[in-house]
Amino acid sequence: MSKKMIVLKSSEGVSFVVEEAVARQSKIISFLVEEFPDRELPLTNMTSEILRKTIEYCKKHVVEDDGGGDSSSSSSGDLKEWDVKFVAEIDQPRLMDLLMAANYLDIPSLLDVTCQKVADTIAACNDEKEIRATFNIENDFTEEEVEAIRMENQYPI
Amino acid sequence: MEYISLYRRLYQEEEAKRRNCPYWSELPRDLLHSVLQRLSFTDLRRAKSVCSAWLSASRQCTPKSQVPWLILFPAEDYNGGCKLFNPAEKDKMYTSQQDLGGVGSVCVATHEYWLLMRNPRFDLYIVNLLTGQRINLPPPESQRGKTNLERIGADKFRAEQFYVSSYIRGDTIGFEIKSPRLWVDEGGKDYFVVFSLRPFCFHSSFATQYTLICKRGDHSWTRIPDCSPCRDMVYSHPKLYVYRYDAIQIFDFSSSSSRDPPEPHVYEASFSSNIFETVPLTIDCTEKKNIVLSVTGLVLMVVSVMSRCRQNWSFGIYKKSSRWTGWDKVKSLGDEAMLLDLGITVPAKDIQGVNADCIYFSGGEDGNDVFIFDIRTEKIHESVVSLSLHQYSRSRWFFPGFSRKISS
Repeated sequence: MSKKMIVLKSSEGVSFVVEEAVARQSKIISFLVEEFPDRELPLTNMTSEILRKTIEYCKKHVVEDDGGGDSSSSSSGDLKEWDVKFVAEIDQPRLMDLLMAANYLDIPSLLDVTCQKVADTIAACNDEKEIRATFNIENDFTEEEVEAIRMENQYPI
Repeated sequence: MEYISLYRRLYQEEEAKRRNCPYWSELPRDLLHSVLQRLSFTDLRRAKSVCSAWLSASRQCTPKSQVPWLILFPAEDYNGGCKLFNPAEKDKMYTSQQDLGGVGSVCVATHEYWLLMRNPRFDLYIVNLLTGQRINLPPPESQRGKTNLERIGADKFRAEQFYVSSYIRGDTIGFEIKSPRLWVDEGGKDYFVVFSLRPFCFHSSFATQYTLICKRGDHSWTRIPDCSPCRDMVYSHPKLYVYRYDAIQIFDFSSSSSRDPPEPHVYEASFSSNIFETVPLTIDCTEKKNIVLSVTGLVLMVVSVMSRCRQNWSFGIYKKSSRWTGWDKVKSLGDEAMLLDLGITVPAKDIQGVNADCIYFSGGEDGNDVFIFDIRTEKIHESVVSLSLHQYSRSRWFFPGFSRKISS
């Protein structure tokens, strides 16, 4: 039996042909496939680059049902290692896009690894200045607010 | 002013576009929340100083995983407050603003952010370090059934015990609170307190102690039947593990709706407390045996020996043998770390800042020191020893953000 394929279209109009089982890891796509079978699904807020990355992740994480119960295509240890490598290779701007994509498409495990990667990046910074520089964030606090936070940080709780 | 900030912002946006950088401060709030939620206490504090969007998202976050902190009570000029110290931040000492009960009150046990306190009148109460919420427990003399303790002064009690054929009495100033354990659920709605009460009486046959429990809704303490004095206890909701000289008893409070304590399940047939091989004991050694529950629900016995002259510690960890007849020595805790003060182990690999295969404990000669013992090297970590905590008393490890779930 040939596997059912579906077509996902990026914001640039590039079509990606994906096995349905792979794409169904997204709860949104799962829903859309059922509502609109045999249709191309336009993902207007995702660039081809991010969509390609997301599909790469889903392909690795697809759980194949071979009739004898669920069996993951890789062992969980290998998968974890693969995830770590996967997010490590993504640069800062792409990471945010991927995190948004995981959220938009509702892929909990991808959202988990991307959030963790951001958290780890924050944790690796020495102070708030470094966090701002790393994430390109403007300090929008007034002097008074800075002082208030400083006072607040005197107390742990 | 506004114009300048608008201009700066537009410029930044342009700059960001040029560098193909997204605006991280504009990450949707719920996503930012799920990121910040993963940060340790220290990192979360850092993150909230980044920008206003991050600050407001951090307000809803409670730091999840967290290193063990030290809770310290100043020895002098004690005004009822306490200090908190995170060993990861050597240069900072935090002051808790919560009123913990005034002069002479001491913390005897902790559970997450909750402290079990004892005031100079020897009344017990629970305080939340976060919110200041206070739960008063029944006075120690209000014990259900046969009263064993009568208050005859502010901190003076008359203890009574049935011995052979008659009652004997002895007066005691205060009493020893042995193996106190505290459990409080997240909202502070349900709680469980247990300790062994030992009066300081001078009667030769008055070497007794007994175990008292208090649950939510109780107006007095309930005594659990003793056969021999309790040496140590651990409470893992809803089970109480009591280590006696000859056995470990498990009381399951999950179905105990009545006021009477449930029938214990005796975990282990009698064993002699000498069964544990220990380092050769010399005259200057103090030996202690504790019961600890592992992350996976395993019951561990921990023998600790301190040599006062040599100022060193050694530990023996034992788990019940699968043969049901004895105890096997555990050579390593693997990925876990042991918090001896709390009677638990924690998965160190999931918690930043906790060293695996180490024992966190307090004690020492005057009971005021805190230590981390590395099981692999059999040495005390210098990092904590070098802290000058002399001005504090009753230092202890506590684990504010760690909610323990046992798999069994």
